[in-house]
Amino acid sequence: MNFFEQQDRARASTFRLVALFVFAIATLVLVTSYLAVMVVNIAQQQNAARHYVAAPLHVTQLMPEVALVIISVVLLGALYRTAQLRSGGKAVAEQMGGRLLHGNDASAEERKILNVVEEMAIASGVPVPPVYVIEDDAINAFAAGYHPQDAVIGITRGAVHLLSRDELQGVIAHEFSHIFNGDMRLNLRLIGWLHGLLLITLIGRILLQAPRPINRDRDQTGNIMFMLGLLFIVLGYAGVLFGNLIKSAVSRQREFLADASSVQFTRNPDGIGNALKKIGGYSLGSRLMQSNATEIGHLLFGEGVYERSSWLFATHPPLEERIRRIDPQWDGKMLDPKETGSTEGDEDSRQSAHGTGARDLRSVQTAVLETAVVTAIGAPTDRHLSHAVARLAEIPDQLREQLATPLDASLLLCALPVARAAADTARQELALLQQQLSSASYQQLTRQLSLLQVLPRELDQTLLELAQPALRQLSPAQWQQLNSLVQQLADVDGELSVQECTLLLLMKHYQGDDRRPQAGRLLLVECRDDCVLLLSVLARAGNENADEAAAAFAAGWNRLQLPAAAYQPAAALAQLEPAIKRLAALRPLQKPALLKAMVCCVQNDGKLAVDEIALLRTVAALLDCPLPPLA
Amino acid sequence: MSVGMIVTLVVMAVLLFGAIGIYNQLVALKNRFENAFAQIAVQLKRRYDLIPNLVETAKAYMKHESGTLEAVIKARNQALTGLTAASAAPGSATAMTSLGQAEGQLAGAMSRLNVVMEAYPDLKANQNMMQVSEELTSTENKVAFARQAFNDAVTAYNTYKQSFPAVVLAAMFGHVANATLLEFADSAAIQDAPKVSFN
Repeated sequence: MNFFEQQDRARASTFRLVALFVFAIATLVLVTSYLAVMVVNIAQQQNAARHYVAAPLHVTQLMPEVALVIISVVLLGALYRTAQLRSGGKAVAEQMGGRLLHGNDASAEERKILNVVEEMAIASGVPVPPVYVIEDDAINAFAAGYHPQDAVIGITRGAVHLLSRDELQGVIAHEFSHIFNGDMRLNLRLIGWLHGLLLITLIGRILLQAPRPINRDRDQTGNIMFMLGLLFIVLGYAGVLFGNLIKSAVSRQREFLADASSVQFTRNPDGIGNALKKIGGYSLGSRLMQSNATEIGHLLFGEGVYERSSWLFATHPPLEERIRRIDPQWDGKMLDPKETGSTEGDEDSRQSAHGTGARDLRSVQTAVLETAVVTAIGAPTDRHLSHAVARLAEIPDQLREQLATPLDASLLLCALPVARAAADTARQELALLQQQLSSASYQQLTRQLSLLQVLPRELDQTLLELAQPALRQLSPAQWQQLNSLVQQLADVDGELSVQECTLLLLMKHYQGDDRRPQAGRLLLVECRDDCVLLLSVLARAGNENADEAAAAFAAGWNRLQLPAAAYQPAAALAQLEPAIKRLAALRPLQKPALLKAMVCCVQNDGKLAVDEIALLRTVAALLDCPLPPLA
Repeated sequence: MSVGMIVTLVVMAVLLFGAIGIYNQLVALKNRFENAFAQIAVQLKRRYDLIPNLVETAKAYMKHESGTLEAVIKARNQALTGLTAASAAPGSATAMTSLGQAEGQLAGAMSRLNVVMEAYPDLKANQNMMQVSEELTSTENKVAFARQAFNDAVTAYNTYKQSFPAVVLAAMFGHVANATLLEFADSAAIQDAPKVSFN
């Protein structure tokens, strides 16, 4: 099943879950009202013996009140928890007590995991997620976040220390596949809603402990409260039980899928296989000490809390079965992580890439098949991985170090437009920068410029992705300043070049500054004008001649199977942003057609210009379909 | 259950969740500025590691200026202890002011050293010395930038904590004192007047 079908399935699953949830609440309301009425009737009958005979209550009389209470409690609980988790992966990581790993302060082992995460992120075409370390000796990891832009990777100290580079790669690839398959969104919602159900038990507990009124008539109010409390607790826990059953079954399937994707990504079953075997052979295993591990259990790599109760509630399939699916010839023996050590297979992949001879990125002339490009989205392979390693090797170490410091990363973002601009524009931009920056910063920028000018333009997006962890540490005010400075640089020559446009769009997108409408509801026909604009801009970017551009546009438009439209030579880059925003709200299964149309338009003349590639990858990123760098 | 009771319950629930939201926001903002301090610590550590190198190179040339050099080392060691203390409690008034003072003294000792170095042109032309000075300047810049981010985060925390409705509950939740900004006396190494950006 490909990336888009996964996204669509996640959407459909959400819909089904909502339905199931509503059904569960309705049942709960009915049963509670019924039982509450029965309890009250029994109590009244006992009272009737003493003083008066009252008409027995009927279910429908109590139902509105009961319904209101239950629904409001569940809703409020669910809303609160989902709001808490809305800040995305970072909230989960901080709740787990994770510490952010800084690139410029890392030990050798920490540097190893940072390199692995960088390689995988570049290979899949997503911004590099921040890495949090959890001080726990067990071997475990997690990935949390709604979108690739706000995803974070968490890893335990034990895993960093005990796993080798290949094994870390397997584990991180597993986590990345969780991000691409939309497991996060679904799981975070599930956490929120189950929390709502859990609150019903809280009400029950409050009712249980409520002081019983002592009444002269000695009627049964106190007992009623007690029974109701008990009722709520029982029903609340029943709801949570069923919810957990569903959650666990879904989670187990996802884990198998993620394991398989990891093998596909790295083409190295030994990596993730050995990691699992080490967990099996380790006394602490993957068991975390953190108490809220139960709640986020399904986000972890290995089972975080070893339930004594049955396999029904396990969030992960049994370890042996996972290993056997990856390695059918397994002999059943686990590995002891302390013996086998963490340095084997550790030679930095970057060095091995030098030997294989990195291809000259400037000469990508071969026509690329549309299907190949689109299937690579969200499902990178080992080819993309080795290509990413080669790309990273092209970036000088000095520059890579600077990408880890917030100030230098910001300066790099300002240097990028200058490095790619024509001579007189560059002069004007430098004059502007000299005015705005302190002299020390300006000198640093000029040094970066000399390093940047020898790098091919295809690396620009890669540099931006690598800079993300440092840029996230800017305060909002600093980010605003950076944004306005880059905007001023783009405005210096009065025209917006493709390079400047893509830089600005990506900056905003990666920082999460673009508020998008509710995703996944539009059809292509509803966005016809936006598609026309997009394809026209793309056609013009790759073709000097107006006729060739029109031909490229027509070739691309054919793929869309929409009513005919004409190429618009006046389509401006500046209008691209609102158009892409609307297109980002397309239904997942509509997106492949659009992407194929774009690829078709781009390869119509048989050559891939740098502008075309840049636009293609930028638009794909903004549509939430991360496109790996074209190999 | 009468309508009145239900309404009361709902209102209480809303207030409860509001309080929980405020608590979480306070915790999140506090985490943010504590994380921001880590960047300052990284750059300051790098600076403190460069200084012994500088002093060693200078010792070979400035045989009679041991007083100045020792003052630099002493100030550097004090600043390092100040930094360790501050890393354990970022935002606390004592830690921030003592770090600021230690840094100020270090800056003073360094500027006196700079003045003395003017009299030794061979020292200034020494390759190693030039490299170390250059790195020191760039680290100064990075410290200033990281400090700006930290102070922004501290201001955001303080503002939220002091505004309504958080002000009512903050003390109850353990957020009693305002976090303190980190102020350094601007050393001679930062030459220009503060600009709009990146200073």
